[in-house]
This record gives sequence, C-alpha cells and structure tokens, in this order.
Amino acid sequence: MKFSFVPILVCTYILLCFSALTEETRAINLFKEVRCLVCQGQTIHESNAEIAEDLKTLIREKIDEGETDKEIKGFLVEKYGDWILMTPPVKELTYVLWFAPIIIMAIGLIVIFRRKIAKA
Amino acid sequence: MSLALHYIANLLLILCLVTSMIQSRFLFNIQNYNLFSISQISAIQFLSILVSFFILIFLFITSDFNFDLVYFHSHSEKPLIYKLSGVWGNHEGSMLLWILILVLFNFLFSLSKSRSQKFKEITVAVQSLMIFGFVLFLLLLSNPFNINNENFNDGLGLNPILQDPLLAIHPPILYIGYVGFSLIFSLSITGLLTSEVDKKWATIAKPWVFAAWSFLTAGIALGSYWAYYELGWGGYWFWDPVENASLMPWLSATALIHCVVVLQRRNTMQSWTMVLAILTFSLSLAGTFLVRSGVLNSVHTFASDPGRGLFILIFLFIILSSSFLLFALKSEKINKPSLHNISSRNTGIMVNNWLLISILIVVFLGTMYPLATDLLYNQSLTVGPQYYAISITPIIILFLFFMILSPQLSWRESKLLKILNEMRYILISCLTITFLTTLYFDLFNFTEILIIFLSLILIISSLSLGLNFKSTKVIVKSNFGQSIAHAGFGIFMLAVVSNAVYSQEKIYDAKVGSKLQLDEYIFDFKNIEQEEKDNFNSIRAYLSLSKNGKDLGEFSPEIRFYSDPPTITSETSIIHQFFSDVYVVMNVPQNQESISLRLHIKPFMNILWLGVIMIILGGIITAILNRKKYEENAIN
Repeated sequence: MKFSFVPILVCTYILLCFSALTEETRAINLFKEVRCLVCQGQTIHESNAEIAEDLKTLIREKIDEGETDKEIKGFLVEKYGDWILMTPPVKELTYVLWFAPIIIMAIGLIVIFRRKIAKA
Repeated sequence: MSLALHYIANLLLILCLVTSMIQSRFLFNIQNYNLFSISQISAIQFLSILVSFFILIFLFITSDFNFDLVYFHSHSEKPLIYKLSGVWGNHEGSMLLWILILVLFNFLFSLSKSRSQKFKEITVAVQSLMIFGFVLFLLLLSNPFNINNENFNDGLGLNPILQDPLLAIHPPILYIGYVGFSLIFSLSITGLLTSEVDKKWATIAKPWVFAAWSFLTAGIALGSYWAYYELGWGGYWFWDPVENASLMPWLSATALIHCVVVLQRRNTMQSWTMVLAILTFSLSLAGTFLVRSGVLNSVHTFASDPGRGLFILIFLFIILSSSFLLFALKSEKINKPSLHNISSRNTGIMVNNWLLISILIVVFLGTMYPLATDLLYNQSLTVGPQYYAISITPIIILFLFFMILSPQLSWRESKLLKILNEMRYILISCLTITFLTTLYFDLFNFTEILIIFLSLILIISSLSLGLNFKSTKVIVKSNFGQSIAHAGFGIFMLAVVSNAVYSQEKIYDAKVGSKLQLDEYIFDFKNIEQEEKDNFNSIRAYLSLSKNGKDLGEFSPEIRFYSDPPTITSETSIIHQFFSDVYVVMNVPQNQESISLRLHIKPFMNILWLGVIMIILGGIITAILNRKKYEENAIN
C-alpha cells in the first residue's frame, strides 16, 4: 500500500505529456531539425546565414499553409537530400546505424547472463 | 645560431632514436649490453626529448623565423602565452609534445618498483619500440626543426580561435591521458608475452591506468569548457567528430579501469582486460589521427595534413595486428577459470562494461556512418545530436541502474531482496524528491524523470558507500575515490538532463538603448564600442542584466577581427550564477542599424562542471590511494 500513489502519478504524467504545441514552437523544433547548408554542423536555428534565413521563411510559410511536419521534411529531403536533416531518417541505408547498437547490446547482455547462469 | 640549434635539436632526436633501439633489445633477447641500467638509458631518452622540446619553445619565444614551424605558426606581435601555446598548436610541435610525454611515462615507469626485473625490461622495451617509431616519423616526415633560407620579417600567425588560455593547456592534458594508455598497452603486451596477467599485474597497472584516465577526463572536460564559452553555440558538447574521437577512448578506458579493479580483486576477466587495454590505446592513436588528418569535417581541422595521417594509420595497423595476434596466441594461457554467482559485483561490472562498449559503438557509428555512406553509396547523411540522444538514452538508463546496484553487491554472492530492503530509505526519499521537483518544475517526460530519479539514488548511495557516518564524526573509507566519482557521474547526469530540458534561447536584432527580455531576465543594451588591441580589432557590445529589478552584472560580448591570419571570432560573455548561466553572443554585424544578439539561459552548468570535477577527483584519489598498497605488494 505504501507505493499506491505511484500508478496514479504515472497516469497523471502521461496525460500531461499531451499538451498542445503552438505554431511557433513547431517552427523552432523544425528549425532545429534542419541543417544549415553552408555552415559546418549548425542547424538553421543557430545560423544567421542568408540561406538559413530563406529556409526559415519557407518553413514558416508552409506551416501557415497547414502542412504537417512530416510533409515539410519530406519536401526538404526531396529538394536537398537526406543530408539536410540533422537526424538521419530510418530507412534501408540507415538500418545498421539505428539498430546495430541495440542489437549488439542485447546479444552481449544475453551472453553475460547465460554464461553466469551456466556456471553458478 | 639558428643553424647550430637546428643541428643540436636533430642530434638530440637521433640520440633518442639510438637509445630507444638499445632499450628495445630485451624484446629480442639481447642481454650482453650492461654499460648503463634501464633507468639511466630511460633518463637519456627523456632528457634528449626534453631539451629538444625546450629548444622549440625557445625558438617560438624568440620568434626565430628561420625555422619553418615558427614562420608558419607564430607572429612577433603575439602575446607570450600564445607564442608558447603555438609550440603545440601545430602538427610537428604537437607530435614532439606527444613523444615527450611518451618518454616521460617510460622514464617514470623505469624508476618505479615492478614485479621483476624481467617484467620491467620487457615493458620498457615495448614502450621504447613505440618511441622509436614515433621519433623516426618525426625526423623523416614532420621535423619541427626544418629551417628555410629566406629572411622572413614576420610569421604568419596562429589561428586566432586557438588564442585562448584554456587551449594552451588543453592539448598537453589531453595528450598525457592519451599517451598514458601507451604504458598500459606496453604493460599488457608484457603480460601477454610472459603469460603473467594476474592480481599482481593489475596492482602494477592500476595507478597508471587511473592516472591516465583522470588526465583524459580532464582533457576532454577542458576541451568541452572551451567549446562552451569560445564557440558560442550555447552548448558544451556538439558530437563533433573530433570530440567523439576523444570520447571513444574515454569510454573504453572507463571500462578498462573497472576491469583492472576486478582483476586485482578477483583474478578474473584477464582476456577482456587485455582487449580493452589494446582497444583503448588504439582508439587514442586513432584520436590523434582523426584530429590531424582532416578526414572528418570538424571545427578542429586546424592542423590537418592527410599525408601524415597515413603514418599513424600504418602504425595503428601494425599495433592492432601484432597485438591481437599475440593475444590470440596467448589468451588461452592467461585465462583462469572464473567461478562466481550471477548476482555478484562481477556480473554488474561486466554488464556495465558491455553497456559502455555499446555507447562506444553508437559514437563510432555516428561518427563513421556518414563517411561510409558517402564513400560506398555516394549518399550524404547528417548525424546530429538527436541520433546520439535517442540511441544512448536507453543504454544510459540501464547503465545508471547497474551503477547503483553493482557496488551494493558483494564480490561473491548477494540476495537482491536484501539489498532492496537495505536501500529502502534511499529509494523512498529519492522518489519523494523526484516527485516534488517534477511537480515544482512542471516536468512531465517519463524518460527524463526516470534519469533524474536514478541519478539521485546514485548520488546518495555512492556517497553513503564511501563515507561512514558515525554519531560524532565522518570516516572516509578506502573506496572514497570510487564513491566520489560515481556520485559525480550522478550529479553530471542530473545536470545534463535538467540543462537539456530548461535551456532557453532567443535571437534579437537589437538597437542600442533597447531592452531585451528572455524568461524573467531583462537585458539592457547600453552601448557599442570599437577598440584596437595588440593583435586584433574588436567591436564590443555592453549590456546589463537584471532580474525582478535586481542588477546582476554586465555583459560585454565581442567580435574580434584578427589580421594575421585574417579571421573573425566571436567572444561570448557569460554571467555565472549558482543555478544558471546567462550567456550572450554577438553575431557578425550585417548592417549599421542593428546588431544580432543571441541570448541563452543555461541552467545547472555549474553543477554539471562540479560533477565532472568530482569524476576527475575520484580518479586521482584512486590512483594515489592505491599507491601505498602497490608499493607493499610489489615488494612481496
């Protein structure tokens, strides 16, 4: 009974997680996802290069036109390639990148625990 | 004068080459040379490099432009400290520094007590073979003492972004860390050759490996702090390829230090310790290679030269292939059968070892994948911070869990329920604290809450393990180093998560006289001035910061225009408060009317650095405390 408040807490958290996003935060989140084409390793959010400003205006316009984040990203990828996104999309080319660490981790842990059990 | 110094320095390097050859004779069973003892020859090796290093420093201080290196990387008008840091702000000089540390470790080891004369001889021989390789490389391919026949009036200068006091000490500290692992590598090769990888081996290796690890940690932390205030991107870690190149050996070294402890206590995990020792040194070498090669796009490619990278690659290949061949031949002999229960500290450490390696794989893939897809499929990818955050978070959660659990377990066998029972007060109090803080700060993301909860338990349980609270006094236990480092990691994780959640930033096009606002802070833009300094011109903005009508201090962010070589840098201005840093960066002005200013609120930065300092302290304490035991054991 001591910990009965835990599930109540968890439920409250989950409910509150679904707070609505405003358009401005949506725009900024997108800016942080898009790479500045001329600078090294910066997002358009951090950059004030001309091309970055153009992209920001473009994204704002698209949000106003009612496009979803997915549609906007899809448009950018089509125009500039996957390179434009700060986070690589999950697809055939990036399966190893995304899944290898977790698979290697799991295999290793299974080996460790199985060996120990066998010897115990 | 210049010519004389040129010859003296080269002769000294050749002297080191010859003595290193003499030292490596033990590997080839040549024993009939006994004119000098090992430590005497090591002293000659060390002194020859030390003197040539001082000659190079002298050349930079006196601005002797007859030497190519000084001409290309220094300037007579530069302040003294940057003339000094110019010595290692370039490829040749930093190689000499690298070798200096290599011979220093060799010298120190030859003075220390060891398990047997033979063990010491072989270790010094392996180390000297590496010294030979690097000095040969220095002499043939990147000689810092090359002279030219022109009469240059002035040098070309040092990259202004490197003109920073922190960056003067960052490379030496980082190098001590990197190169420290060369000695661990030599010790491992010796252990494999003599089939003596056991408790005694671990006792000898432990202070060295902890010292090297502490320096590596400090080096990375200094680099990170430099990036935080110098680059002005508002972060402390960018997952930049060169940062990753230093993080990879760190991860492997962190696994290694725990293995050495297990080996010392339980005489098990021999093979894995050897693999980690070889891996750590190889990654350290690769780290040097990556910084120097310019293969990777990075903010660090200021000292790039692909040709020389080839040497390090060949060297790396020789080291990897020969040491793994040796390992394959000998691993049967060094392994002792290990018998322990599933719920023992061994298992916990092994699991976390593997989790560290998993993080290493994430970092490796993130760094190399764009290169691979570019080369193989001609497709460019960007792997940004988000990839690392997503991939590492689940591993870190498991890692924290086992980091809390393992020290509670005994080396033999423990009942999990009993531990849970013993920790109930800590668990309940941490749950309450987490609950209250999340409510107070409106934090509703489950992952973040979980990490905060685990970090809190880690901090409290680690501290309570290292300190014994008696009614009147506090007793510091022998595992205090471990306790403080683990608590430091908890504090670090706590700060990382809260910093990620609560950082705020805003960009303003501001005019003089306007008031800018971010959160509860008011920035009063007062003035803008142009100044002329010794080696640059600057535009400086003045702002004052206040919160709820209380004055908190002045900002003076700056844009600097250097003339030799022509470069523009942006100097950030930070007001440190206990709970958060407020941070202003000025962008290069595009027009006359307004100036673009970027304002950041970075909460918990002080606490983050505190965590890092505790981690480093923990390593140093363990290295020193172990010393006494080590001396006793080595004699027996």
